[in-house]
Amino acid sequence: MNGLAAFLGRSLRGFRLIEAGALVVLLVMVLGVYLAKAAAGRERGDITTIQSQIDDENKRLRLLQAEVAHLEEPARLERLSAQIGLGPTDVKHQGSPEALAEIARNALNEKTVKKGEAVPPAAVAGAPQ
Amino acid sequence: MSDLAWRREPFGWLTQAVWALERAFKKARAADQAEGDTRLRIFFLLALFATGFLFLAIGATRCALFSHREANDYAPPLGAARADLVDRNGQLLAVDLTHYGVYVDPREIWDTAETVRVLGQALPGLQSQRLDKALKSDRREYLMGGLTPDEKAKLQDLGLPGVSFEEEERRVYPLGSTAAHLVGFSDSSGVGLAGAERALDSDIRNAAGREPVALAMDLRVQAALDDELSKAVAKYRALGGIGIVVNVKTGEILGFSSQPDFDLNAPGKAPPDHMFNRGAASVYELGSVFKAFTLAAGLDSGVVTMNSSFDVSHPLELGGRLVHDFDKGDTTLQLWQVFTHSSNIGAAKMALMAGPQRMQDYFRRFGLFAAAPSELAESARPILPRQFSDQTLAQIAFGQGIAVSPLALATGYRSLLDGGIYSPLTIKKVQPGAQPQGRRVISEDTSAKILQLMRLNVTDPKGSGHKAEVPGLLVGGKTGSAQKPEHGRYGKNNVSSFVAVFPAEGPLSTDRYIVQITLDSPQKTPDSMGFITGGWNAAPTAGKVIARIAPFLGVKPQPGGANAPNPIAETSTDLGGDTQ
Repeated sequence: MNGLAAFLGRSLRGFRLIEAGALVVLLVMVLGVYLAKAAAGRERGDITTIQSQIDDENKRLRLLQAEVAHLEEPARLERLSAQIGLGPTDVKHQGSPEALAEIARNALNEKTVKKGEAVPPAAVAGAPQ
Repeated sequence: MSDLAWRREPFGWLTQAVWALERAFKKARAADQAEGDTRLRIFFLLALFATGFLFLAIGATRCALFSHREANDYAPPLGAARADLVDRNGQLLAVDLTHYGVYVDPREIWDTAETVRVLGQALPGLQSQRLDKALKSDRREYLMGGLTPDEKAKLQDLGLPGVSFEEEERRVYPLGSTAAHLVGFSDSSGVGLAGAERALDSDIRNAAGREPVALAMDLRVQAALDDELSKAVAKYRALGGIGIVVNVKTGEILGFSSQPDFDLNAPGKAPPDHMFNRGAASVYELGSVFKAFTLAAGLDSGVVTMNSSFDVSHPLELGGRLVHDFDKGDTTLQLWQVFTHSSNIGAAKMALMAGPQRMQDYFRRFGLFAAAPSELAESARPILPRQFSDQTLAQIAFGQGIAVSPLALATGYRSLLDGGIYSPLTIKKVQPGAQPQGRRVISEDTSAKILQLMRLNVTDPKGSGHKAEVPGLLVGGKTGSAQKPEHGRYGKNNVSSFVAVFPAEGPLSTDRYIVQITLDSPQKTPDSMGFITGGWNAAPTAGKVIARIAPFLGVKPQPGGANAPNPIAETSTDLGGDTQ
């Protein structure tokens, strides 16, 4: 108890050390809170501004997406295609890259049959056997 | 006892601490150290306040630094009240967009005449009565909504005093009338009223601001279906048309078209007839497409076999009425020919052999006696005969005397072609690997036979569906043409249908698709040779749709598929069978 009383009793130029220390701690805390609050306020302002910009951008993005979808409306594309003579590909004109060699061979055969001579499959360059 | 009593009290430790302190004060006083006693009390109070302030400071710092993060946790989702609606590939179908409502406050207006003039020019859609009423009011009034950001900016640039704006969400359908009856629409308060907007209303609301809701529909398939169906309706001068494309394995509706359609952005301006969903909300007597169910019932129950044959040389008399065949030159038809020649007499005889109870049971299990089980609220109940006599049974066998929705027909056909399992079709995208649950109606063997018959009906030169053939895509199908009841009796117009499946060859586990076309009251055209039956209008339309959508569905043309031999015809022509 005496040690504690001695500690509390210590003073410097008439001011008790414990009181001076407490005052300093208090001032540091007040200043810290003020600075933190001020910094947070600035950050919050920045965040609000950026959030607002993001919201606006999102709205514009959605609007643009809707406009793109509208421009790609199938019926509209059909009309535009028809104007320049485009249309769906006939199923006879569809094929896979793997079938190209066979298509070429058949076409060549048809030609040569007309001329009266048969062409072996190997005559088609690159044709898988 | 008293020493232990404080331990049981809630704040016993605090009481004990205060008493200990008090005892220290008393001891200090007893030792004649009054100054020490006072200082101790002051120190104690100081420590107490310092601790309190410390807690407050920590709390304030925490609030200052981290409060915005916590606030964001509670922020409502930004943007839409309804989630975006997209097709299975993410193509936008419906979206909530920010629009602006215009408000006017007469108390802030300096020059009323000028305001009326400028607003009239800037807002052509504004009703003058509404503006007059708002200007005579003594408070801020709503003028009109739905202004786009550009329109709002132009009006705002005019700098009219007393005119202000507020944001409002509006449902926009960027594809206009595409898939109008499938997508549906919602009202201005964000409540789904029709189509998927109504069917999936709670899903769409719950997903708002998070993720889009995906339909099973494939926009590419839908576009081809819409295009070919509208061309067919125009060509055959039909009152309307219905097209449905279904993935047989998953039950997903990949395309759903009802013509005429309407612009989803202005449903109020569309004629009521255009807004009517003919595919789900309307019921038709669909004719011979029902024969597939009749034959499936006969085969599955063992009443007939693929070798059975039927005498169709004379009309069948039932209840004083005669059942005729469209092709009147036939005498004896084998089972597959009953299907490909679409013989009413053969189908009716088969149904009579099976009996009313068995046929009713099968038709019920095919879902034809109830509304199609669908998310679409428009799904209509069928019109059934009051009683099942021999006459009504014979009629139902070839698709008359019973009216069902095209959606119910597609659901039934899917069970015919999916190994005999009946389960609902869905407008929602099914996740890969998900297996729809259903009930068995017919055996896998019967399902395979129906698939063969449908293929034969297209490949056989005398098959009613041969005009649906697309080289290499192995199309199968069944035609249907039924007279329309008009003024209490069957009239001249008919409802023509074709239910196609492709590819119709290969094992049951093959990915295959149903394309169902129905035309309401088609008329004769030069290339239909004066006919208005399904084989001349609905079948070629289905063929055109299939040719266009096959690449999108990954179905590649098979070389020589069109000329494949007919296994049924080759084996059964030599087999006599019993003539019915």
